[in-house]
Order: sequence, then C-alpha cells, then structure tokens
Amino acid sequence: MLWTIVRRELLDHLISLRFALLSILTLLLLTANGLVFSGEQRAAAVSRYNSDVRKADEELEQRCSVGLGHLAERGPGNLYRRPGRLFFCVAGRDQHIPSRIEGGTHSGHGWGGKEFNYSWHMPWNLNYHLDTPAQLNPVLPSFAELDWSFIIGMVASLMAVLLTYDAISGERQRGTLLLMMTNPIPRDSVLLGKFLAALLTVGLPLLTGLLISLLILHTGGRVDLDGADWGRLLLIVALSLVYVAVFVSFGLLISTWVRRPALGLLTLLLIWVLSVELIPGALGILGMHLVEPVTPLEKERESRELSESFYEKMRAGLTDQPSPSQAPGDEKILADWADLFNDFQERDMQIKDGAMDRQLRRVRFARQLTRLSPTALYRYALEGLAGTGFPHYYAFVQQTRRYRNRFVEFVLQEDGGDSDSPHVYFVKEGLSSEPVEPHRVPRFVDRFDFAAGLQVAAWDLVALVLLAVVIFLAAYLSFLRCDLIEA
Amino acid sequence: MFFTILRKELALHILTLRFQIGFLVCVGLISVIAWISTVGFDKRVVEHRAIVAEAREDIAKVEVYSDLSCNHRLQAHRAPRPLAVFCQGVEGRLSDHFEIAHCLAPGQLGSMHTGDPFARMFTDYDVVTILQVILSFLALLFAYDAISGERETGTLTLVLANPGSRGQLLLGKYLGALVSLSIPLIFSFLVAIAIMQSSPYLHLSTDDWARIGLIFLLSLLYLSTFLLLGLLLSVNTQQSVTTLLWGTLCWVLLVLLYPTAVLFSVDRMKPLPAQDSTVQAVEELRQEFKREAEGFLEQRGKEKAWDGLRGSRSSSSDGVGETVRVTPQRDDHGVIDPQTEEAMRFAREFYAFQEPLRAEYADRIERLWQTYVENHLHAQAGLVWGLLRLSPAGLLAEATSMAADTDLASYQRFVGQARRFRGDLTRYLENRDAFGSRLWFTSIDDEVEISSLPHFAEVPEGFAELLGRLASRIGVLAALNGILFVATLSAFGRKQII
Repeated sequence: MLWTIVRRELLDHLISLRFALLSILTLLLLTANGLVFSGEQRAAAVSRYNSDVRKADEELEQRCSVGLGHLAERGPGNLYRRPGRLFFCVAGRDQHIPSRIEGGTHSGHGWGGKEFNYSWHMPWNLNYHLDTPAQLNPVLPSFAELDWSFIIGMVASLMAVLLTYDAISGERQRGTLLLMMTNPIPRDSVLLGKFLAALLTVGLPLLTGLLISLLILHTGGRVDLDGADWGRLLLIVALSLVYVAVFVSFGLLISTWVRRPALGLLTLLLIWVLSVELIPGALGILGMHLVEPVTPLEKERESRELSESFYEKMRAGLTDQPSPSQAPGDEKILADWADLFNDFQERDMQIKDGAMDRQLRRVRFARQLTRLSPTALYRYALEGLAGTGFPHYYAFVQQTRRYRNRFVEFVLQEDGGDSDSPHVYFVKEGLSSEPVEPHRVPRFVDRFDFAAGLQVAAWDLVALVLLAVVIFLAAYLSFLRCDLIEA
Repeated sequence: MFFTILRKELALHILTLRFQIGFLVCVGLISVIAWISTVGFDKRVVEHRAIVAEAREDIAKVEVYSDLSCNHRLQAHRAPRPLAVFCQGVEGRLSDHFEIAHCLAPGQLGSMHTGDPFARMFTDYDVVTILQVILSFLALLFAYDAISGERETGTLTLVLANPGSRGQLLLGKYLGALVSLSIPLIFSFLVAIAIMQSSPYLHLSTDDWARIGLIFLLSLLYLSTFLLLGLLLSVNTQQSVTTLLWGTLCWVLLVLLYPTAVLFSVDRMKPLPAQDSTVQAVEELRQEFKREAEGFLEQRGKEKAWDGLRGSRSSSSDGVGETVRVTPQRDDHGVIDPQTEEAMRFAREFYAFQEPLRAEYADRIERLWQTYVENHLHAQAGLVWGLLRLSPAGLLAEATSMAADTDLASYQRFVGQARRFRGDLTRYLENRDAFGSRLWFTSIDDEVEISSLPHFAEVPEGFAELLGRLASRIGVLAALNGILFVATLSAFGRKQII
C-alpha cells in the first residue's frame, strides 16, 4: 500500500510545473558549477602549491648544508596549505583564507659595541600570514560560491518546501484526505509515502545534476579522484539527501498544522529564508563582531615591547662580556644567550599564537551561532568532509604547531648525536655546526584526510541527522492526531 | 471609492500575521546590522583621527625639503563615510590614507592590509541588504493574493459591482500595499538612524540627510517593483498559491541566485591576472631612472653625488631613487669648510637635475599601476555591476552605494584628488626651486615654511552631481515600475473576474 501512495505522489510531483521549473534550475546550476570549476584556477592553485613547496624544500636543504645551528636558528621556512580536494562540493572561501604560514625568522639583527660584536637572527617562529591574497579583487562585494553546498542548500531545499507545503493541508482542503483514509491504509504509511515521494522527487534531478557536474569536471581533467574521494563523495550525497529530508519533514509538519496551504507555504518560506540566507549571513557577521580580534596595531605594539625588552635584557649584562661567536665554547656565555633567546621565542610564540587563536575563536564562535540554520550545519559538515574552508585551515594551523615541536625535537636529537657540540639550546653556537642530511629533517606536509574530516564534521553530521529525525517524528505525531476534514 | 479600497487594503495588511512577522524580523535584523556597522564606523573614525593627528605632528617636524620625500611625508586622507551603515560599498576595503611625495606613486589600488585573515568568511550585510532581502519578499507576500485571492474567495465580483473602475481597484490595492510596506521601511530607517545617532562619532550633515532621503526613495521604488511583479502574477494566475509559487521563484532568482551567480562566475571565469608583468615593468623603470642619474654623474666625471663632504649623511629609499639628508660639519663659528661647500655646490646641481626626473619617473610608474588597476580590477568590477544591473536587487545595491558615497567611483574621486595633490606638491617644490636649494638637504641657514605647504582637503561630491549620476538608475527603476503597472492594468482589464 505504501508503494501505491509513493507511486501516486511521485507521478503527481513529476508532472507538476514547480517540479519542472526547479529541476531545470537545479540542472542548470549544477552544469554551471561543473563548467566554472573546471576552469584554470584550480590547476593554477595546485601548481602554485607544488612550486611553493619545492622552493621551500630547496631553501631548507640550503640551510641544512650550513649546519644544525644555522638550521635551528633560521627555522624550517614556509609551510603551505594544500588546496582543498573536493573544492567543487564546497569551496569554503578557500581563496580568501591565507595559504601559508611562515616558519622562519622575522628579522635579522646585528649589533656592534666597542669590544662586543655579535650578529644573529631572532629565533624562528610561526608567523601567521594575515593579508588577503593578491588574486582577490578588493572592489568586489564578498559573495557566496556556486558550489554544491550552495546549489543544494538553496535550490534543493526550496524544491522540498514547494513540493510538500500542501501535502496534507491541500488534500484536506480538497476533501481527498478523508477519502484516502477510508481505504485500509494506516496513517503512518500515508505520511511515509508522501515523505519518500518528495525525497525521491527532489533526489532525482539532484543526483542527475551532480552526475553531470562530476562528468564535466572529469572530462575537463581538473579532478583526480582517488578511492577515499569517492567515499567522501558518497557520504556527501547521502548527507545532501538528509538535508533535503529536513526540509521535506518541515514541509509535512507545517502542512499538517495549518488549515490553508497558502499559510503553510508562507510559514515554510519564512523558515527557508531564515535558514538559507539570513541566519548564516547576519548571525555570522554578528558573531564575528562580538569577539574582538587582536588589531594589527595592538600586535605591532606587543611585538615592539617584546623586542625592546629583549634589547634591554641584552644590554643589562650580555654586552659587557664577549659574544658567543667571540668566545666559542664558553658555557656561561652560551647559557646566558640561550636564556635570552628562549625567553624571547617563548614570549614571541605566545603573542603570535595568541593573536591567531583569537582569530580562530572568533570564526568558530560565529560559525557556532549560525549553526541554528540547517543550511549552515549542512555546509559546515560538507566542508569537513570535502577538506576545504575553515575546518581545513584550522587543522592546518594545529598541524604547523605540532610540526614546530617535531622540528625542535629533531634539532635536539640531532644535536645529541654530535659529541663536539656544547649542547646548549638554544643559541646557534651552542649547537652542532655539522651539516645536516636533508632527508633526515622532518618535512611539513599538510594532511587533512578522510578520518580527520569525518571527525571535524561528526557533530554537524549528527546534528543534521537528528534534526531530520526529530522533525519527521514531529510531523508523524501531529499527523496521527490531526483532523481529516476542515472544521 | 478609491480611498475606501486603499483604507481597506491598508487595514487588512497591517492586521495580518505576515506583516507583523515581516516587520519584526526586518526591524530586529536592521537593529543588529545597524549596530554592528555603526560600531565599525566608530572604529574607523577613531583610527582615522589618530592617523590624521599623527600625520599633522609629523609634518611639523619637517626641516628640509627632502624630508617631504622621505622622513615626513604629506598625506591624503579619505574620511570614513557615515552612510556606509546603510550601504557598505567598498568602504573599509581599500586604503584610505596615502603618503604623498613627488617621488612616490600613490593610488596603487591594492587591498587593504586588514590583519584579518577571515574578513571575507561571511557575506557582508548592511541595512540595504536586509531591506533588499526581507522587504522585497514581504512585498511579494502582500501582493500575491491581491487579485487571485479575491477571485478565489469570490469577493472580486462583489467589489467590482460597486461604482469604481478596475483601474481604481488596482491602483487602490497597489497603493494600499505600498503604504503598508512603507511602514516597516520607515521604521527600519528610523531605527537605523537612531542607532547611528547614538554614536558619539557619527554626525549627519544636511547633505547626508538628503542622501538618506535618496536611499529611501530608491528602496521604495525597489519594493514597489516587487509589489507590482506580485500583482502582475496575481492577475495572471487562477489560484493565490500558484501566484506565491511563481513569485517566490522570481524572487529567489532575482535577489538570491542571480547576484551570487554573476559575482562568482566573473571571479572564476575572468580571474585577475597576476601583477608580475606590472611589477617587472615598474622595476625596469626604476633601473632606467638609476641609469639616467648615473649618466649625469658620469658626464660630470664624478662617481658619487657626494664627494668630499664632511659631516653626516643619511639616506632612505622607497618609491623611485633615494633621498639624502646631510648635516655638514661646521667649525666653532658655524662656518662650513670650503671643501664641503664645494661638494654641496655640485650636489645641488645634481639634485636640481635628479629630482624633477624622479617626479617624472614616479608619474610613469603611477600610470603603469593605474593601467593595471583600471584594465583589470575596475574592468572586472564594471563587468560585475553591468550584469548585476539586470536584476532590481543589483540596481538597488549599486544606486544606494552611490547615494551613500561608498561606491568605487567615489573612491576613485578621492584617488584622483590625491593624485592632483601630488602634482600641487611637485609644482610647489619647483616654484620654490626647492630641488636645487641648500634647503633641500640642510637647514643650517634657512628653514621650510610649514604653513605654506600645500594642504590636502577632500572635496566631497556635490549633491547635484550625485543626482546626475543617479538619474539614470532612478529612471530605470521608475520605468520598470511603469511597465509593470501598465502590464498589470491591461491584463486585469481583460481578465475574467470569476
């Protein structure tokens, strides 16, 4: 019996004008998505990443050949973020997010006194790159990207709403609801039938569109999907259906509640506009505004104070004695300088990491606020799965910090292996001056694999599924209790 | 009869739930957004004032003419625009402060170093965006059942049985809905203005009030477009639900999808070319300048501009070439020794030759950057706005940013003024023979008259000028309204009423 209802509903939907219009729209947009994303930009981003990484490697090797102390002082060089893999699913404003973190010294200093003479580099640190990329036109308004998450988030949900707003109330108004119920059908199969039919109706053009988009991207040669990517894609498609199910259930719920279909449509459209446009936009801006970022001026002042205190401490005792390069092997002098450098590095790290953390907290808070909207939940889950946008950047920052520790560990370990070294960390004369074999140095590779993405997306995924279930249950319960005829 | 319909429609609309919800959502969001934008404006003002004050202090430190080209440069500032609260435009996106010197090419329109890597994480929202999205939707909701709803309930025949033409009925319905729509619109403006007024930094001038008036007019015209679109659909469909369906589709396309699709496709399909070739051409010009300056020295048989100077010398370089400042050594009577005098004589000759050349090369570099900016950044933006104009939402965004003085053309006017100011400075220096004077690098026997230095004052756009630019946009919106109204009227005249 359930399938009779599903079949009837499906046929009803398929011959309706709204289905035709929205299907065409979906297909057009997804085709455009394929065409636009198979453009040059992706290839350019990948080749830029590759050449950047190569250049960074060469610099690292050059530093290795000078010696361990030099390498430890200058740091590993620039660390690059890999362009997101499934960028066409959800671009996540990847282009607007910094693509690298500099792991190097920020300034060189030489200082000559009367007898004292020493030149050094400030100890290296992670310098977060904070300006917008040059390929971005500053005079254009910021805009959403025409990726799957946008098209499905907007058009598929609209379709779901438009197909279901009169599912119950329409039949009640026409009087067919009562007729249907005179047949031996349980109420739940009616609702389930309507639910499945609407889901299928939306799913049909959606899946076709996604296939077209993939096909265009594939023939354009811009995507190289491996096994894990197909897994991600499957999950993304499944998640898209869950997202559509949320709106289908919403539609059914509202249509059992309201008397007139028009009123149901109004309510649903209001919910839809809030979810798709207003909550993600306005609450996002509000969230970004409520957490104050560290301003560039503030950061500049903190850095200036730090470097002033560095020089003050240095002049307070270290310039009266010979410098580490003038008196090599003097452990007292080495230790004094190592203390100075270590203090500086630690404080420098606190300032820079602190400023970055505040920025990250700000975005996370804004995203948290926008999670009121199912569309935002869906987009964030997709970002996690596709490995693009903010979740990827966040993971990238954490990875670079772990890499920083790994690099320091490597230096200590390598230094321990050299018996000629004074073993004073950290001043370059206190470490081994032997060249390092480049292949032994740990390299930074940005990784954001399926498991990591799933972990990031887990909560959004669960929330979206729960939302779908809860709303469907609510629709189910209210349908069980609703009147069959107009009072 | 006409007024009866108008009154009835008005009362009906105001009592509906959709009006109340729409009103609350709109005013609520506008208060949030207006507050955020006002705080943003306050921050920009504080920063602007600090920078201006610092620049003024800096100029007081000028001792020799060459200071003006390196250590203490003049600056051109663009004041924050209060009406950015209504329409953000390019406000805050681009540098509002330029250092001005004869040897420096300003106006290299690059993105501002915001220090905020996630500045573009979320779409920009301002008061006009909210109106654009919510009130246009409310307009559709007011109009969708105006005719088809009455036809459905059967009241249309009854209404038309009264004396009064169909045209009057339509006009009454249209105006009734427009007046009801203008209630949330007026409230939104009042709320936004009240929030703006609460800021200690924000003062609205008469000109600003006139501009707000224009923004109001534009918004009203925009809403009326959607109202008439709704009416047209309502006349042409049998059921009010069908009207709503079509109306929603049109609205989603015009307001949400089309602008995004345009911006995104232009960004991806016509990406900005890299700046490499321009950077390279600029570098070549720098080298060329260096060769010319060295050529002059060679011709005179000297190796350096400064030979035989006794005293200290400091130099700095950015822009084209380098600026040198010297403090000649003097004996106890304040007399410079003859060798240094001799060196200075040649140096003056050299700088009298080199500095105008520097100004000229800076001009050429500036033209290179200008070409890059105009051919790529502006061309891209021009394409985007040209396409966006096809949707009333894009038209509204463009026109309101003009009225709020935050559009690209307004910024360009500032850049042009900064450019002319640089010309003034160069002329000022030339007129005073500053380049070849002793005062160019040393203040031992004279000093710069700071009060006579040219001063930058931004000339705002006149209201008449603005009206001239806006006229075509207002005209297009009004014409759109006219066409839609006539179409609705003629369709309604021919339609069966039952």
